[in-house]
Amino acid sequence: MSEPFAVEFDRFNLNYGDHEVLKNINLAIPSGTCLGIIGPNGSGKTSLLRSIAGLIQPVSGEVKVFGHVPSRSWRHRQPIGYVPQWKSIDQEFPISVYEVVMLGRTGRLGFFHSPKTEDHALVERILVRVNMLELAARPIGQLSGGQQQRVFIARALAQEANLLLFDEPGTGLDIPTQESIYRLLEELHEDGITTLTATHDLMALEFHHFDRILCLNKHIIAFGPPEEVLTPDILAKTFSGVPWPTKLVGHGA
Amino acid sequence: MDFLLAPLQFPFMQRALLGTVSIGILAALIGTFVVLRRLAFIGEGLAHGSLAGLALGYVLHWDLYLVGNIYTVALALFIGYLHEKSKVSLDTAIGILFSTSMAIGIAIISNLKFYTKDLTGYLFGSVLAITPFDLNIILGATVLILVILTFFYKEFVFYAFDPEMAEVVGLPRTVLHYSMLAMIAITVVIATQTVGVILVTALLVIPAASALQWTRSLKVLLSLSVGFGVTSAVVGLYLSYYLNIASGASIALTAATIFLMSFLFSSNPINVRRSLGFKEK
Repeated sequence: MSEPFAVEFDRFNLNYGDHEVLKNINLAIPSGTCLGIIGPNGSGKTSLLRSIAGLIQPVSGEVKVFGHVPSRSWRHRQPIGYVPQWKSIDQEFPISVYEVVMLGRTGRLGFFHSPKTEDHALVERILVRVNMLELAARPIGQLSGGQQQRVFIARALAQEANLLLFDEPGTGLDIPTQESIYRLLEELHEDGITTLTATHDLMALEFHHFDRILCLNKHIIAFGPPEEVLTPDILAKTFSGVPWPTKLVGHGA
Repeated sequence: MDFLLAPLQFPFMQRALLGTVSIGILAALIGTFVVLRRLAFIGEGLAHGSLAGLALGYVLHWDLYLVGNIYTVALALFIGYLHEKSKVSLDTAIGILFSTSMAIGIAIISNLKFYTKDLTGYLFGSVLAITPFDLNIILGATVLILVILTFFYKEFVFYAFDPEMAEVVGLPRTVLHYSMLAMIAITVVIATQTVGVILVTALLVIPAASALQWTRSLKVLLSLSVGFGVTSAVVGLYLSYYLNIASGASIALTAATIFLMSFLFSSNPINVRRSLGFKEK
């Protein structure tokens, strides 16, 4: 992507009813950034990601992705990969792991086209990458939560997006799976793909070196390289009233 | 052989067979999506709500099923709209609109002194009364919906499995949602001709629910569902002819028998919960 910024927020305000969720967000995330978004529960991390994915609209201001408003038709051509917070899916939907990952190709294929040899090859490569090839034929409902999460990451990868959004990707997963997810983030970073990862779990910072950190609590508390942002002061402001692991406060600085 | 062919010497029986098979295919396909999206109640609601449309057609002396189709599609879209625009759950929106619509239908009928024969046909299905014009509508609608489902198969599957991600990928979620509602409405009105309003759900839900007992692959599911739908339609039609019972009842009972067999002989008891309409968390 030649665009200098992957995501730009301009005086962005988001409400749910009368409830202010995001207040005056001004932010420009350079292309290729591996961003960690931290903040307590209810700080608007998910809403921020959903706004970028085009799922919710602001009351004022705008968000641009690679210089464009991410309208539906734009997203159809320029995919944004989104891995939502793990939620219980329809366990009985008759669809295999392979088919779920292939759904990620839907936008790239466009209407009236069915998957070609390249698409099948790509889906297979991605399944190898997330270590799910042996389970490709399994119905998705028969997998564990962590395995399902890996399938949804694979589906996002199948979009071949230059921007990937991860909402709490490690939550509820065992340590090896979390490590493999953060290893994947590193690989994506090396490929020049912009990733935005939301987490309320500061331990995630132990696993992974984000090159930028965004501290969010309805408005932006701080945005910058970890060594500047992960200070006791800023963390206290971000998590005001929320205890955080003291060990980390020295760690980031 | 004679047993199977003898009834077909009558043109009305030929139309009945073509019509029921066509409806069996259509209802089984759309029914698969209905079962997967857990929309069984909407089929029931639209069938009952269509009463106003059919009564309207009767008053205006237009083709009942053509008016019924247009009316019911509008009703389905309105249900979707009410659900989207107000803070009303889909079930509640269906409950409000189908009862209101049915009340309008009853009001018209009670005022008009509908011929009981027409009403019986509407309630229980009168497959032998399919006119050549009706048959054209049935075949036309079936072909139309088959074409739509074939061309937009991957989009409808994505929408059915994960509507939110379908939207992220840039699919027109609202269009897909309303198209599905419209296709359900058309299927319901058309199926009314063979099984009647009371038993429409049978043709819509039972073949797909039976197929779910056997497989976890969507393509196999769709084929099995169509197979069961067509079998129910054909066997039901012959039973209706020879035993002189309402076609709706014989078709629904054949479908129910297939479900019972599937339930007993497949080794996939988990799906029974969904088939019976229980919602997973």
